Amino acid sequence: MEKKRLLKGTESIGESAIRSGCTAFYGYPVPTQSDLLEFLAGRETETPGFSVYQSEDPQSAFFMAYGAAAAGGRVMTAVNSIDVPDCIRAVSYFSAADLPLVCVVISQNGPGTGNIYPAQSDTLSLLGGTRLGDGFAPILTPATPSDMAAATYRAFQLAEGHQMPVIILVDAACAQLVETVDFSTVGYREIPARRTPIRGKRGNPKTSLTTLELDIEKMADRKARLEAKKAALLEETPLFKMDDAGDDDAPLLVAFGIAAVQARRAMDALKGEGIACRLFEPLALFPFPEAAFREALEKAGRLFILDMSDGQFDAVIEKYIPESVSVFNFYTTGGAVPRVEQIQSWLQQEIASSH
Amino acid sequence: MDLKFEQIAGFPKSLSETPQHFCPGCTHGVNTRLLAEAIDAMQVSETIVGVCGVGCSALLPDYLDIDMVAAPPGQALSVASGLAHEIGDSGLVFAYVGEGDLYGRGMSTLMHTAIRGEALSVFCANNLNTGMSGGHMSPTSLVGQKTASTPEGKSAVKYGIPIDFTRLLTDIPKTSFIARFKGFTAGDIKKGREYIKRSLLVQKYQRGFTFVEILGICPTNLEMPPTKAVQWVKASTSGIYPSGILKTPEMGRIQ
Repeated sequence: MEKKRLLKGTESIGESAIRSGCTAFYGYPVPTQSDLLEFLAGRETETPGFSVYQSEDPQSAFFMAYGAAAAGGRVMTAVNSIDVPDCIRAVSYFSAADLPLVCVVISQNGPGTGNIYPAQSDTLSLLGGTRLGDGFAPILTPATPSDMAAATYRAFQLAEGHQMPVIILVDAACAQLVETVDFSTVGYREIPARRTPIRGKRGNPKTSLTTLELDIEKMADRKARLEAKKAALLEETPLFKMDDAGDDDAPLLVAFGIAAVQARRAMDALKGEGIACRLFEPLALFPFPEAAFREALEKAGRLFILDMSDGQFDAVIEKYIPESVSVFNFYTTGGAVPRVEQIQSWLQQEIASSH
Repeated sequence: MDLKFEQIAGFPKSLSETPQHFCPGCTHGVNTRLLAEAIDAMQVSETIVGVCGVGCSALLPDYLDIDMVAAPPGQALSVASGLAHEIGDSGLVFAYVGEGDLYGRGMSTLMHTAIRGEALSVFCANNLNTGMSGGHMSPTSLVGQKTASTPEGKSAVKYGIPIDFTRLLTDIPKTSFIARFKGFTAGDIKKGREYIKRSLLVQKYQRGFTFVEILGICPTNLEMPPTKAVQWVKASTSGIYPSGILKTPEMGRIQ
């Protein structure tokens, strides 16, 4: 396989999934995420052991994936914001059944049908929604196609390693970003399958996979098992990027997805004007790289939060922010990506006035 | 005298010895045994995987001694499709689902699974109500039938007139074997056992989507003793849900 390829975000996820040993993609075409279905459908014939199926609706895609995962498949699905509720339901079932799944969620603008422009308004519904019935799923937030390749491999590692569903959350702008992805930097290795597939008894005692549990104590045991899994997940290496200006006192920006991409561009522009900033970019919302973020905040008197929702990201990080830190927000909504000049002048203004 | 004995009946090997929770007189018990007998007769207990739907069907994994996966509401055939994709020719996959689950929430999935012609044997337990939820109206409940959600009887004005969903499937090009039987009398049950076996046989050698509907009773929710429930279901469904083979791979649509 080629080391480097010029790809857009969704394609990079697809390519990385194949390199991670994905055996089946179950998709349903909805704008902002159908590129992934198209890309993988194009790769199906040339990839032995890999199949693509288009389902009649997103929910069926999840549950065909459920059956395939039960039989030993390494499966992936994708939805956009509108179908997040289906994703949440699937997370609940995959969690309960200890089955691995990688689900790509492409965030577009809502509520309702909204539009196909990017947004970051699925943050709280995914973080809260995946807790349905005390289920849970890691939520990875890569921004660039290269980061998406790495995140996809990581997602399959986590899914197979812990036997759990994993979400890759990408906004509709990042999904379309194009760059040369160097897959040799991802470090793909065979991911071992850790479960006995259900394919008929074949000489073994029978296996029943059900999420129904009528016994209260056994149900409590299942929850305890999930809690233990969550604790093990929290031990994993935290995922984040820290762009350091070499000055710990420099104002700290925090953003993910396209907001982080734009923040980085604005920082580069400000550097020319002698204004140094630092950027903390979480590459996962769950588990959130809490310790690293708190550490970055220690010396920052000022925190600049950049987000494309009505403040959903604030709600995620506010618990980590000490009262001594002054917080500044910049939101864009309606599907608009924050422009570099906008961020630049916002930062200039706020930094000058808060000195 | 040299006597030779041949066993002509017995406890099916694929039926587990777990006591069943089904209500007295319920057809699910008959269906479970017929499935076990067919699996034994076909000698596929080591390579078959079953999928069950929700409600009373969800108890099946406890009662059959084979690999089974339980599906969420409406999604039994999606789960079964995924299993079939992954297992391929090395095994058989069947689904056992109630009609409330399959023809209600699962209707779109049923149609599309049949249209794709997934290699599945689907068994639908049609007892004219959503059993475990507490006897509410299901898509096959009859006009005038009293259920927990239609206490005055199912209204044709509000809910329309139920259709023969099994027959609907005969029009789909990739469905192969389709039949229906009543799980009541010895004669019906004997016929039904053959249908279930044939359905698995067709899947084993010809692949394709096979479908058998089993018309049954839910005495608890019909609030009738089993014998009366059988009489009532027989009398009131004869013109709507007729028994017999509806489609075979060799002859196509028959009825």
